[in-house]
Amino acid sequence: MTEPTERKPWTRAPAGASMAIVLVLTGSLLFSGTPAPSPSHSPQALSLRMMPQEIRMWGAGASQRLVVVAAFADGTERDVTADTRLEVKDRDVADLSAEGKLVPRNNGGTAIRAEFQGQVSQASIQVRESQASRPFSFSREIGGILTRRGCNDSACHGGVKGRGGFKLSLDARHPQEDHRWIVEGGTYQVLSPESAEPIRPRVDPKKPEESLLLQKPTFQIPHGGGSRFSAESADYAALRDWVREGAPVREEEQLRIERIEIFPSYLVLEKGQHRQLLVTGHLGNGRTEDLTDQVRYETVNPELVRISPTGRVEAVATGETALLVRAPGRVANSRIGVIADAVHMVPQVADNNLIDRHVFAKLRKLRIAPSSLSSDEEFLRRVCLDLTGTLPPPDRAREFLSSTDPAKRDRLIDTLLETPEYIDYWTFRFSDLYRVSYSSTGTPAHSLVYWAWIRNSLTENKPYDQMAFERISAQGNDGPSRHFLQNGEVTKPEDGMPEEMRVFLGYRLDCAQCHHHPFEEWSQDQFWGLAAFFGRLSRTEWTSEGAIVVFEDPAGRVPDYEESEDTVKVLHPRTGQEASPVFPDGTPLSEEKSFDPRLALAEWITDHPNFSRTIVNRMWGHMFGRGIVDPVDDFRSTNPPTHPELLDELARDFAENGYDLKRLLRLIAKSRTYQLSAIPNATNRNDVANYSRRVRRDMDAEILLDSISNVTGVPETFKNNWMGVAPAGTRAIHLRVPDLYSSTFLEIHDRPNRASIPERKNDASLKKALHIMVGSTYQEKITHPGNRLDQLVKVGRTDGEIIEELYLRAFSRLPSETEQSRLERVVASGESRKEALQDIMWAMITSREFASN
Amino acid sequence: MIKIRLLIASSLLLFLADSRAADDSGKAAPKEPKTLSVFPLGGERGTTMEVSVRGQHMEGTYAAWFECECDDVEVRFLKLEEIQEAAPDELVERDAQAKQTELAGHRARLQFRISEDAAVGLHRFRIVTPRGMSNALNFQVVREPVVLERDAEDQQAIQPPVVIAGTTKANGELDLYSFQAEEGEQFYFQTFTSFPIYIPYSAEAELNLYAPTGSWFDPDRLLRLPWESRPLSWVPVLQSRRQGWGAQFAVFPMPTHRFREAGRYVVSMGSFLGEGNPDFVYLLRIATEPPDSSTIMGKPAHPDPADWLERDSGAYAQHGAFHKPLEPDRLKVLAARSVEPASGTGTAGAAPESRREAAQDRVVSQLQEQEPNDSKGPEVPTAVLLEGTIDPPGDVDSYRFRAKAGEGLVFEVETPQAAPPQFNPWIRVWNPEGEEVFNNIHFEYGGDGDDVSKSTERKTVFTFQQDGIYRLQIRDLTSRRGGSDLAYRLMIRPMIPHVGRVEYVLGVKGRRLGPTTDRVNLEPGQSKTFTVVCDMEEGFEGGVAVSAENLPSGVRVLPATPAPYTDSLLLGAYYFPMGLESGNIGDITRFRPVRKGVTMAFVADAGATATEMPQLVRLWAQPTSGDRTGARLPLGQVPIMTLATGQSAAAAEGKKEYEQ
Repeated sequence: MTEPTERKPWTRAPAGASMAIVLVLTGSLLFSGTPAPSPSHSPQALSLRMMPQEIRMWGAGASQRLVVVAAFADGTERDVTADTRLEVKDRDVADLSAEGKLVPRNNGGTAIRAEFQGQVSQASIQVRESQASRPFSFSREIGGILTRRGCNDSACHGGVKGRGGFKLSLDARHPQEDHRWIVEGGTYQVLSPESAEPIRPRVDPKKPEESLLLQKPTFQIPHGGGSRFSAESADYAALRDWVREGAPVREEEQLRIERIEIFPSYLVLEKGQHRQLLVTGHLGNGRTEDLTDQVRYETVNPELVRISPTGRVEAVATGETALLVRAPGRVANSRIGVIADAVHMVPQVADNNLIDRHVFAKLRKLRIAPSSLSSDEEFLRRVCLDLTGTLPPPDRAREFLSSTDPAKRDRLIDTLLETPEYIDYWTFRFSDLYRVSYSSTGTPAHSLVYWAWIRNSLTENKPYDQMAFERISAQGNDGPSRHFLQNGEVTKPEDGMPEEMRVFLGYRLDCAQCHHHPFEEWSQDQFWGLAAFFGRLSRTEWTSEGAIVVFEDPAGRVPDYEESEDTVKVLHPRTGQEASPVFPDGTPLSEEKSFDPRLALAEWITDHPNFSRTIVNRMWGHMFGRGIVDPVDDFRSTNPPTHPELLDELARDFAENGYDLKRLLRLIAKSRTYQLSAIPNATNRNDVANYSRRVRRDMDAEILLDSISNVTGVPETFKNNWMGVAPAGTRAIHLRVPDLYSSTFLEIHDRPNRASIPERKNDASLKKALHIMVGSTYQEKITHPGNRLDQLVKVGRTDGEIIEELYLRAFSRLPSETEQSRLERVVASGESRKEALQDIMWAMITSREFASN
Repeated sequence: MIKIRLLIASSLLLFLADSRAADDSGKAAPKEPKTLSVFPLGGERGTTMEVSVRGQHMEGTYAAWFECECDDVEVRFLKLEEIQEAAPDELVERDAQAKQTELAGHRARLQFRISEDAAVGLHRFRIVTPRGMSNALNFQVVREPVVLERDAEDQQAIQPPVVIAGTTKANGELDLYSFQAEEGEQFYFQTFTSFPIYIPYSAEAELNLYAPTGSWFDPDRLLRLPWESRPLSWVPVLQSRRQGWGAQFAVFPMPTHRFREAGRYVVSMGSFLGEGNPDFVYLLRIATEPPDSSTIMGKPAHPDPADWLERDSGAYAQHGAFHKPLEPDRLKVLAARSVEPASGTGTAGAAPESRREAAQDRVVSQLQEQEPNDSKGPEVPTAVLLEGTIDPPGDVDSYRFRAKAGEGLVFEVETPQAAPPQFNPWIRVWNPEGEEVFNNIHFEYGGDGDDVSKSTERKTVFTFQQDGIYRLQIRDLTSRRGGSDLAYRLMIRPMIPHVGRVEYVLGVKGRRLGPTTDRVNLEPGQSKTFTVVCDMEEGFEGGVAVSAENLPSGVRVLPATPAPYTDSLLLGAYYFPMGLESGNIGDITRFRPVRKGVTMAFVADAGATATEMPQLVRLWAQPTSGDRTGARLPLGQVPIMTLATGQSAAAAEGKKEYEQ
């Protein structure tokens, strides 16, 4: 037990309260902890590494940046390139330029040697086709300039509608379209392939210098984007020459950038340090090319790090952020952690499992010491709420807290995972995610069978890939098929597909419905190619609304009134052409699978590498309050994971072990990372993304209401809009069609309506605060005849026993001696014992300690 | 002859007293009696039990009348009680629907003596008062002992096989029953419920099964067990519609569970959305043997001879047509619903091609499918009954047949076991060029214009445009189900012009060609109209003559002017017409018969004498063509009662007919 070091007053609302009391609720909310020891800092290099280790240069214009990194005794790495002595063995093959870049001279092989503080590193060099000019490629040359200069950025011409009538594809992902808008001119229209007036080419081969493409970015004529480069720059010359040659659209597949790689992929810098990045492009011809000077760099948080146009990173303030590297057609990212100094030696913490290995390794890099292991009290409440959404009863709390079994935590986790409450809770969670509601399925009966399918799946711990497969490919009139009946009508392809992609692959494709995705590589064609997998989705109306059968009809969905057979087809909105099922990589659905397209899509999705990542990340998010990718269903190159290797290994482990949700939760709950205390130490006070401590979060509306009902002993009565009442004892998480049961408390606490995929934020708000002060839920339960207080008084419990019981029930801990004695005094000094105890109960269930986990 | 034994003397006295009271007080004349529920909802054969019937305007009740012409249930009237109920304030305040709430004002106590050899199934009965008979209630006769719910017990112990009769009286009520099961034992559960017509389907019963496992959190916690089949169905509403007016009742599929461990288990009975009502009554059967056709609750004890289901078509009132058996003598059966051909002239109204076929009066051949037949099946004749199963999931059975240009063929399918929506036979036919020429999916627009109904059809009629060998494929609408229960019997046959479904509708009002009442209470000088609807199938062009027998003395059946909208409503196949516009290209008669109707009236002469008990008027339909007539076809039976002057509800309310 932690003794109170901080006191917070809770005053009860005036309604019915005759006195103000001061409670001292202590424990896990309070800060304590020991700073990590400060190790001595050594400037002595222990080893040296030059990157790249194998240098390959093709063509006359090739070059290669070099980075030399030294490892020091304090465990840090620093960029020592500027202080390193570099020496090329055979300078007839390659040599160093004035900027320190390696450039080819003649075909052949040689090596380069780096030396720093007596440490040496070598790299091999191969030069090929040293006299050959690289063939022209529109996307690489012109697209490269437009990307590097930010012209096709999403905030500029790469935005949804372009800018100033001029549309470019983001990061030159669609060079053919870019060429058309440059050469033919015209104004882009989102929902039409036709261009709007004025149709004026942006290049003039006869007078290249008068081309808009050159005059605008050099600000010779007004340009909203300002000056992007000067008329003396190499980029200007390259564009001018291209226009002069007739603005060709030649494309060289062998030069297409297939992948870009950043070195290092993860970087820790001390505040004030700098580091040169290396960006390597993997081309269509299998070769690699140094792109370090050909790409555009962006930092997600410029207050933490700055980066130069040539990839030099400077650490400005402590924290962690990501860098984005944009090349023609490709985006990659790298994470950077900035630490205050390198003097702390992070203590070695024992790993419980693979989660700890990854998390603690990163914490060591970041010089963040994890908090100590949570207390038994803290752990008990946390794990019960996270795994079952249920507070532990006092007798179980006493039993657990008094146990000396060293394996009691593991045993408790195993026990909780086998309780009916586990099934209740995760049925509720997945009903949220899968949107079980009257409004989304059309009838309460649909919702019921859908809900029952989820519950049964969790009861039998169905492999998650099977569960996903069943939903994506659902037919008939069974549970998962109800998901495709939006208000009783089949979901339209453009609505159904993005939801499956978001739920199961963590991709948000909605934007690509009307245009290429503004931030990602998803094109409008890909969107409609995927949507077409839902193009045959149809339904019968057998005898009444409940017996609707969902099936694949070659004639397509049931047309609405005044729709024709043509309008129910999946039509690409820009081209007006019927879209056919095509996987995102361009592979069309094979003929033999075309009868049942969603079956093929279900196979594709459940086999997709991001399938396991997405669900692992979701479950992680549930347990920690934050996903490794956060938001949990927003996977994109511009939103990289905090722990990519951990996510990959968890996903692999999940897939290799039968997509077992229960096993995954067990793995997470048993990790030391999960069991860390919420009490911060000197090194992790500001850390919210690296799991160095428990970051408490507010309970979701349903869990909070259930917990209040639990502590007060007054179950909530849920009346529905159809005049019925849920059976006595029904909890908020038990409601199968929640939107039929309106609840002031739940609405105030932001219960989602499931009309779209819920995103729970649990932000503080005035209405919540007011409800706590004067809302009926609290008051009615506290004063309800026969409530828990009444029961305890009735059986003759003393004030001390009642306070202890309430503490155990609400906080899963005993009151501290101070709390106990003060509260007993409050009761003793009050005019009414009953009112005093009610006040104490009110203070407890409105406290932060109670309402958060 | 209706045989029921009644004790009426005392109740007649009660009636007279009530009548005088009404006259003396100057109150409004009483309305037509209406029943809301009967409890218990069923009884065991060979037992005598007391039942109570709750309802409104039941003053003077002196008898109960079972419609069957049999000795299955002997009724003894015991007494009539007045009851006073008020809708909960919150109900009235909270929902405008509460305005529809109908509260019982009377409870009749009756004694039912169920004979040892009573037919198992549903028996319709009515309360009889001086102001006529009430709407019908259903009473289920079962073989098993019937145990009544005991309110005081939290988990009432029962021992299967058993039928429990209970009531979900209050909102949120959950009735729990506990029982012992052995390891590996499989139990079959079945519910049968009844609730007043005004209660929405949220009142449907919900059945759940639990193991009292306890939990780390709560030692008394029940663990909900998954059913091995669907716990809830949507059949009830349409079943009630088909059965006609009165309290709705629900028939659910039979959920099952095989117990992995021996022990005590609990089953709960409540309503789907937690609505309770004193008139929400139920039967719950827990059996150790799978139900057979005689133990399925909700099935009429005595088949209705007029129950001819030829089409299903998603029409509410015709639900169940996929279960109608197809037999090799189908051509003969259909020919019997037409007009015997005059010598040398063929069948009246028939198309020339099918006239000969019908005249042959032959039995179609039967063939069993032979796998593999997914892509190319055997050539079969065009008068054939094909039997097969869809197994495994996604299975497709193919056949080929030869057709001539201008030839009309009929494709009918029966699903003897699993039926829609579990098994939805999908028939598709391709021409010799490989183009799909038709299938059995039909859709049409309806409602207020924005409802679309798409359905698989039990019967499809198609006239071929070219000679050749056509390929037919049958499969389930989905690719997810397969098994021996997905059995089909597919008949290909020539067209036989005939009279299909013929039925009557009482009290057509407004835009719905649906009944607004289920009985005729007439007093001298009154008349009440009804509409007879005939389906003219497969090109039948003759007429239909309607006749009635067993009319009460002084009551006649006469032609009448059509009820409003009747002509236009007949164009739609739906009893609750969703619209007149087909979504299919081509002839609507591929999926819909030509419908014709006539409005008639029961007319009571001024001198008609009051009857003490209702009686069933039998209606007949007779195909006609020119000067020839076909066989009499049962059209239905109408319960009629003649009242004393001034007693009828219509008289009391100034000729406001058919007020329910």
